[in-house]
Amino acid sequence: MSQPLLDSTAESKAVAERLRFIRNIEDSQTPIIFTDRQGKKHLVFVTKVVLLRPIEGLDREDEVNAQVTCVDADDLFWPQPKTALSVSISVATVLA
Amino acid sequence: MPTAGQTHDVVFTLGSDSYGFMLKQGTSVEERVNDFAPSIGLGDNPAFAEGAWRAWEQSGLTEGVDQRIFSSKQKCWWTDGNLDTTRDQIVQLAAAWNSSDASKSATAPNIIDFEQASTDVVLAAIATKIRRYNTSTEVWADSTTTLGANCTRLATHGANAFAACGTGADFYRSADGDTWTQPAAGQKATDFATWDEKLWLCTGATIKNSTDNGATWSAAINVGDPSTNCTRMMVAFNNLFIRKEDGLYYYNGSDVVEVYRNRNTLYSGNQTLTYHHDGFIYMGELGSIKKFSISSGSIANMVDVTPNMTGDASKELYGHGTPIWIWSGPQHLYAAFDDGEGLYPEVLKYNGLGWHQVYRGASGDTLNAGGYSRLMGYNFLNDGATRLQKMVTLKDIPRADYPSSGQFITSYFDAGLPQMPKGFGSIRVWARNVSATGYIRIEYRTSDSGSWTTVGDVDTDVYPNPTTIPFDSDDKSIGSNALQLRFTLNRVSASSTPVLERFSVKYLNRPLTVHAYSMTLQLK
Repeated sequence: MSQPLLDSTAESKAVAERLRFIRNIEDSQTPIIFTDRQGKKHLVFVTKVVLLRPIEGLDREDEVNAQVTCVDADDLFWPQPKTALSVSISVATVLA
Repeated sequence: MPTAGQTHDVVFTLGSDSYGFMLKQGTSVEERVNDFAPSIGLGDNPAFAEGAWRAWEQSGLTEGVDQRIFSSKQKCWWTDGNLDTTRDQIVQLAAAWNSSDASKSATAPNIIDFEQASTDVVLAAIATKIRRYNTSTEVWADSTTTLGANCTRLATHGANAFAACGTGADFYRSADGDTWTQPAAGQKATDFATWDEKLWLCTGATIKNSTDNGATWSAAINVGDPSTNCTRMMVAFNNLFIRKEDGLYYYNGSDVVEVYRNRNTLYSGNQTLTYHHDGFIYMGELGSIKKFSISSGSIANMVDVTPNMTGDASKELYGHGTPIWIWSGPQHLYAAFDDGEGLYPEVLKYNGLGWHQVYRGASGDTLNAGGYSRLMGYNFLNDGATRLQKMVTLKDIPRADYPSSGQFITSYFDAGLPQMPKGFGSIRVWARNVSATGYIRIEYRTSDSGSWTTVGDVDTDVYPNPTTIPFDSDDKSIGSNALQLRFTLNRVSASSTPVLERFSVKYLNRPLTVHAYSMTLQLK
């Protein structure tokens, strides 16, 4: 079942694709644009991602959530260290 | 195309990729995450102020001038030449430069002592006259003799003084500085030196010696390229060093040895060369000053010690000017420069750590000559007038003969974080010998184009507790990325100078706010 959106349409992109995007923005060495619910844009780096998955064996239809933390990039003058990929790899395995 | 607030709660965009996400309700948080300054305390109570503040502190300026951005706490950016900055933990007025012989332009770059049978004198060459400064009456007088050409160098040997006239006339000799004769027909000279118990002269590309006080001369000894002229002689390390327009040589009694030669630096003004008692030779070359030692007849450890100015185009193009004479004082090395910033006659001294402004004359004047009189304990210079500065006998410390004021400007202080805003709270000053009439005025500015704002005057002698003056009497601090201070020391009388021992500026880094955004994205 596709996720319902604010305009009553359904999410067209798969969970796996959106997770891959989250990993991309997490690893990005250039700032990304975060647009909040009020439409305000912030130039940010993603500094932390936590995937919240259901306990093994529960209903596969349970929601998959991702906690994301971003920090203003306006005042940062040096490249951020690249995030380790180990967690992302295990996530990809689960979703495959 | 996902749109925040319309299709999705939030949107992330990386390059051309935009993805929308729905949020789990109640998980969107925005918070300030970077370091921030605690509330600013005012006043001197350490419980409220000290813990939060950082300090920019300086105590003495022993490394001298020309530091535009703060790095060393022993340097400043600029002084007007009226301050003594060579001693640690002391900044005070230097001795005043007083005009001693007005409207006299020197034609020889050196001013020298001449000890003689009667009253000793100091000699300065003013065109075809030798001016004599009587060390008893302290009055200048012309020589009776008028030379056949402008004197271009002065020297002493034994009981006589010698005046070289370059190619304009044969050299002159005098026993009293007043009456001058030409003892050797046809002998011209550029410079003289005493070495190996003989009198030496250089002329053209040759050197000669005399054992009878300049009456008769040896055959000429060729030095280097015959097409370039000798400009200066000096004795060091038991050899006779000969400066030429294009290089440096020494004579060891049997051979002329080339120390170095660089045709690209050929310049008739390459005439400065001196041995300083720190064991090094100092030499002007074009607009530079080189410092080196000699090891086994070769240059060792040559370094460029030219003082450089920064701050505007004229300072950076011309610096302190071109060295026209260098001499060794009781402790420090002195260099006279012309056309500092393209305009100013200047004298600086080098204490091994850095250059200190000793004199900065009127715009447009020409620095013609300089020297130290051990007989008087005075520094002399000539920039259209002969001026003197009284020093403590046998030392490079100013005598209590102070000018009305002296000024220095600090480097810009930005805490090494030039783009970070800061709050500057107050300045504490430790000073001595200050009063309502002899005080230290402190001003600040936050950019080159900004005007100076008076912070206040230090007029109370309160050691060990400092005088503390806030930068703003209403606000708790002033906000700026950087700060530059100007100190003006005003004397009480010619025999009393205020002394600045230390100052400390309290400041806080006030970084721009950085926010973090955290949320839980619903992916399914």
